[in-house]
Amino acid sequence: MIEVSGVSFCYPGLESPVLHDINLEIKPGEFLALLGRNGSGKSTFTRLLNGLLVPTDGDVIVDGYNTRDGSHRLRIRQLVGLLFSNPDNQLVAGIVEEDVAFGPENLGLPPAEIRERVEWALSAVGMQDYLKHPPHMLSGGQKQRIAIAGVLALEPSYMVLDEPTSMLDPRGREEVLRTLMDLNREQGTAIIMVTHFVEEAAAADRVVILDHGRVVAMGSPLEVLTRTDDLSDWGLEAPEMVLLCHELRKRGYTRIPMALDSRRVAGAIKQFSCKD
Amino acid sequence: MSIRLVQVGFRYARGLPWETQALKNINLEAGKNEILGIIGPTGSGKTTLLQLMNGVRHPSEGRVLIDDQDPAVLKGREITRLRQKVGLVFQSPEDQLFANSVYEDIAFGPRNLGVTGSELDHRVRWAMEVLDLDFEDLNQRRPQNLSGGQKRRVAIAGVLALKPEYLILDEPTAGLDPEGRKVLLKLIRKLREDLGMGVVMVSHRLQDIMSTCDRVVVLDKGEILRTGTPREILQHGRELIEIGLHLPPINLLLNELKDVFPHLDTTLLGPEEAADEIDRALRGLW
Repeated sequence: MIEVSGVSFCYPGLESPVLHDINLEIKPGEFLALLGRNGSGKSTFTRLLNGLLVPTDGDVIVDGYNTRDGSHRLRIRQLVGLLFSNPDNQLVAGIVEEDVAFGPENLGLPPAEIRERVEWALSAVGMQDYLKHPPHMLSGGQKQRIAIAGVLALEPSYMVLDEPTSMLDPRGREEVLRTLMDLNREQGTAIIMVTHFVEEAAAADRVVILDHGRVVAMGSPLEVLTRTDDLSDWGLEAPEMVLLCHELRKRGYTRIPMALDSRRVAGAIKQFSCKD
Repeated sequence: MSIRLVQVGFRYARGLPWETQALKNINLEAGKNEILGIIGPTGSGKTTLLQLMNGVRHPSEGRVLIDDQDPAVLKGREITRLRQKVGLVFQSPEDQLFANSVYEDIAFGPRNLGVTGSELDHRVRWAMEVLDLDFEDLNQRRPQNLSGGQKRRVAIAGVLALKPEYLILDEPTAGLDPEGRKVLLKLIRKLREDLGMGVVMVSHRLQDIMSTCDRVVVLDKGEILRTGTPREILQHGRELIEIGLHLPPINLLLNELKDVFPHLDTTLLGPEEAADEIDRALRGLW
C-alpha cells in the first residue's frame, strides 16, 4: 500500500504550495486514474510517489518505507515505477531488448535473469516479436509500450504513469490503455495513471480529481464522472455520454441509466423503443 | 486566391527499393476565409500533405500552386516570399521555444526576415493580442514557466508574427487539457472571422474538426476518400470507423441506433441536438 498522509508540497523559491494536505491510500493491485486541469498538481503528485520529490509536509509511505528516509530510496524506486508522456525521452538504447534490459542491468542482476525479465516484460506488453528492432522505427504506441516494458522489467508493485497517452494517436492510445488494463488484471500491478481523457478514466477502479492542489473528488468512475457541473468547475469536461444521458432524462426519459459507454446507452434506448 | 493541389502525388525514397507512395491523385483547394480540416488514420499522408501545402516539400507528380505561383519552380527571395504567405505550425510547437522571453521568441521569425524597430514591436504586440496573450503580463516571462496552453499559443504567435495569409496547423490541440483546447479552437475560428485567413488543420479529435471546420477532407492510404461539410462527412460514420477513425462518442451512439431507427440523423453534434433527435425517434415523430 502507498499511504499519502497530510502531504503538502512547495517548490523551492515559490511561495504558494502546489499541493495542500493530500490524504490518499493506494492499494496493491488497484487501477487509479488521476484527473485535473493543467497546473492542478497532478505531475508533482506522481513524483512524490516514488520519492523523486519529497513532501514539504506530511509523509508518503510505500509498503512501510517512508520516502523521506534516503536509505530506502533504491527499494522504493523498485517498488514504484514512474513513466512519462513522451516515449522518445525515455528510450536509451539502439535496440529494443537492450533498452528493456537497461534497468535490470543497473540492479546488477545475473545475465540469465536479465534475459528472462526482458522476455517476460516484452511479452506482457505484447512486443515480444520486436526484440531486435531499433525503437526509433516503431510507432508512438509501440515505443510507449517498450518504455512500459522497461519499467516492468524492474518488477514494480506500483506503476505510476504521467499522461502516458497524451503524445499518441487514437490507435496508440488504445494499445497503451489495453496494455495497462491487462497488466493490472493479469500481473496484479497497481496502475496510477494521470490523464486528460475522461474516456480513459472510465476504465479505472477509482478516479481522483485534483484541483488547485487539493483532492476535490474521489470515487468510482460512474460516481465522479457524472458530476457534470462540478467537473466543469474543475476545468474538466464530462464524458459526452453522461451529458447525453442528462439531456435524455430532462426530456422525460428518467429511467435511462447513467452510463459511460455508448453501447450501454444505445442498449437502454433500444429497450425503450421495444416497450413502446 | 488559394492553395491549390492539382493531381499531386508524393513518393518517399524515390528510386530506392523502399520507395513508398505517400500521396496520389490529390486534387484540393484551400481558400482564404475558410477553415479546412484534414482527417485520416495514422499513416494516411496527412502530415506530408501539410508539408506540400507550404512548399517545404515538392510533389513527385502534379503541381502545388500558392496564389497561382508554384514553389517548386521559384528560387531565392521569391520562394522565401511565397513561403511567408503560408505559416506552418508543427505538432507540439512549444518544443521549439528557445528564447529567454516570450517577446524574444515571437520576435525571432520577423527579425530574421529583416523586420526591425517599431514594426517589429508592433508585430509582436499584434500577434500576442490575436492569440489572447496579455502583453504586459507575459511578454518578459520565460516561455518555460507558462502553462501548456499558453506555451502553445506563444509558439503559434511566433508564426503569426510573420504575417502569413494562410496558417497550417498539425494537431493543434493534442496534449492540451479541455480548457486549453476550448480556448485555442475559439482563437482558430477568430483567425478566419476577424482576419479572413485561410486555415488548414489536421486533428485526430473528430469533435474538434467537426465543430471548427467549414469543410473536411478524409484521407485514406494517401488518397482523398471524401470531401464535404462536417455534416456530409458524418453521414458516412460507418466508413470513417472502417478506415480506423474514432467517431465522437455521440455519433458512435447514433450510428449504433441506426439499425432500430433507420432514419436517424447521425450527423448531429453535441448532446442536446442528439437528445432531441432520439426523443423524436422514440416518439415516432417523423
